[in-house]
Amino acid sequence: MDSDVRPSPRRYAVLIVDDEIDITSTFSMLFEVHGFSVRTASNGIEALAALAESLPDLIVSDCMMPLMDGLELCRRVRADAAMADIPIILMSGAPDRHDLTSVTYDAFLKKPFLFSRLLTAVRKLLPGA
Amino acid sequence: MNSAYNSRITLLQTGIPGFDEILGGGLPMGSLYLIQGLAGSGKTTLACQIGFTQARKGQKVLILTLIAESHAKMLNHFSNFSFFDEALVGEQVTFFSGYASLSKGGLRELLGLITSCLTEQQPGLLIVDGFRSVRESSPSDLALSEFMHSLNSLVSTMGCTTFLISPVEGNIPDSENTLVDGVIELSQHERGMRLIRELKIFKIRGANHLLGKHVFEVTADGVVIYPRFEAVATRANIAPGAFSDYVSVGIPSWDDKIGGGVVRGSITCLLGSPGVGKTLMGLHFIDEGLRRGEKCLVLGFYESPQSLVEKARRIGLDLATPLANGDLAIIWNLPLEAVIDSVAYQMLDNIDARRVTRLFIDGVEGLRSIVMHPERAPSFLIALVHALRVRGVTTFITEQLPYFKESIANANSSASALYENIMLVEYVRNAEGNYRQLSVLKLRENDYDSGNCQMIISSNGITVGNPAIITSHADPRHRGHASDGQ
Repeated sequence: MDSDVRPSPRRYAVLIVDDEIDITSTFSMLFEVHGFSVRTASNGIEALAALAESLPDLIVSDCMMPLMDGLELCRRVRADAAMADIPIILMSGAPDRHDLTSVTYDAFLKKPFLFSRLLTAVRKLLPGA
Repeated sequence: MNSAYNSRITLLQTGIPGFDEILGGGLPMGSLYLIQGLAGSGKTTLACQIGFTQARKGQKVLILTLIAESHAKMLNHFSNFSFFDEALVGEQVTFFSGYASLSKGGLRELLGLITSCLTEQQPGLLIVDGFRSVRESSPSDLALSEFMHSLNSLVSTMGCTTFLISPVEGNIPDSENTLVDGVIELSQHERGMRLIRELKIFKIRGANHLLGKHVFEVTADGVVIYPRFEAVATRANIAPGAFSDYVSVGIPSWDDKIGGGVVRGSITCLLGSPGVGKTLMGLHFIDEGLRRGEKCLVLGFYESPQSLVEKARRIGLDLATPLANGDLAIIWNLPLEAVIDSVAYQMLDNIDARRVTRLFIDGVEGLRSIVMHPERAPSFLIALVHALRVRGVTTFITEQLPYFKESIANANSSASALYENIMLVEYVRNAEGNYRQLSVLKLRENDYDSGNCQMIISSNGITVGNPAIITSHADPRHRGHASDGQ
């Protein structure tokens, strides 16, 4: 486990997208302890609305969600030149149920996972975070 | 009490004797558990014993107290236990109080404190003592449910196994019980003036745990739990092997009557009146095993080891030498307040460690008298003899008839499951006096002489005559039958 709590000089912004509130609330608390600013959304549509307001440095999204799933969100983000370069971490408890080859993402985590693994993946994508 | 279990979930081995066996290998890691029980039930000791065991393995342990014992008092109490290691305190085992956060900022601030602690300390185990204070801080039911849900998610995401300690009882439908992954209850059971400690698992998600109650003790080494003997046997479900050879009972004239002895690995009941010679028959059986180089064990409740050795000496059997050199062991317990599962495990551990092949249980009544739940006795004894059959231990067990009984007691339906062989030894009376008579009531796998025989005890031991010279009926004052009674 990574015990290094080192709030970054610059406050990186993360958008967490998951329909399970315990995931969004827990990750929010933990990212905030590590110095990130966090916004949350419970599906792809809410996430696009949040992205229209301001762009985060990184998106962490579940795959299986109602209204708009994480893969479609991923496609929409990549298709928009303003957002196309935002790193995306996808996560799912059932990766075999998704055609992950159909989208471009930066990292994938199979649920359940420890927060330390997510933090490691985030820090690889956001050097200095 | 070691067992191998298959689990796809990573398990935290508690290190508490007997507990991992009950849990099916251990507690699923990173889960949230409620350890509940009224004051003095041993829940803080159980949790902190697991904590110090984990700390000794290199895990960081965080003990967060709300309204509970002060840290100094807690440490002082723990210092009496062998699991306590002062060198770990402050390094591997850290104590914090969370009450200030709870009282100032409610559940949100407490959750924030726990989040910060888990992030900074990275403990593998978190113990929250005095968790009842969370409910007593008067949140709404919804707020408490949200807190429990968030806490469960947090500890799971951080991979931190967490114990919440609360002084309540029962499987109640409150969020503290429903939104945790496991509920373990410690309680006390009274019978008359006697009291025993019991542990019950209401639920452990992802574990193959044993249902029902298990007795535990708090000793100088901390908590020692005895998985309920019959539940362990049921889960293991091991079929005993079969033997076809015979072993001598140590009395040649008796061997002759029963076709050469009893089948190896069988269980034989010596049923008879007090003082009729059952114990001496058992000592002959043990002496025969020792002469053949077997490791032997006696489990007794009434006659002390010294008394048994002296009793054997008076009929020419030397048990002192094998007792001194380790070929013979005698486990003796007063039949008063011993824990029956403890006695059983003590006996089986001795059998396994010394590779015992002959066992003499002198007084099954001793086992029955220490059962706290009388309804357990039949199934416990079936599990016990099953464990002996699985190990192939040839066993003699004495069972006493009442001193004075005018009629035969109700038939004991469990006797058939317990014993392959039943020998009845009773006093009979004729005009010349009292005589001992030996009858075979049941003898599995043998041809035997069904006639009653006279049994004679002299300074040279026991001999069995043929045929019985007594013609009168058995003395009704000594007549009885095996009974399930206490």
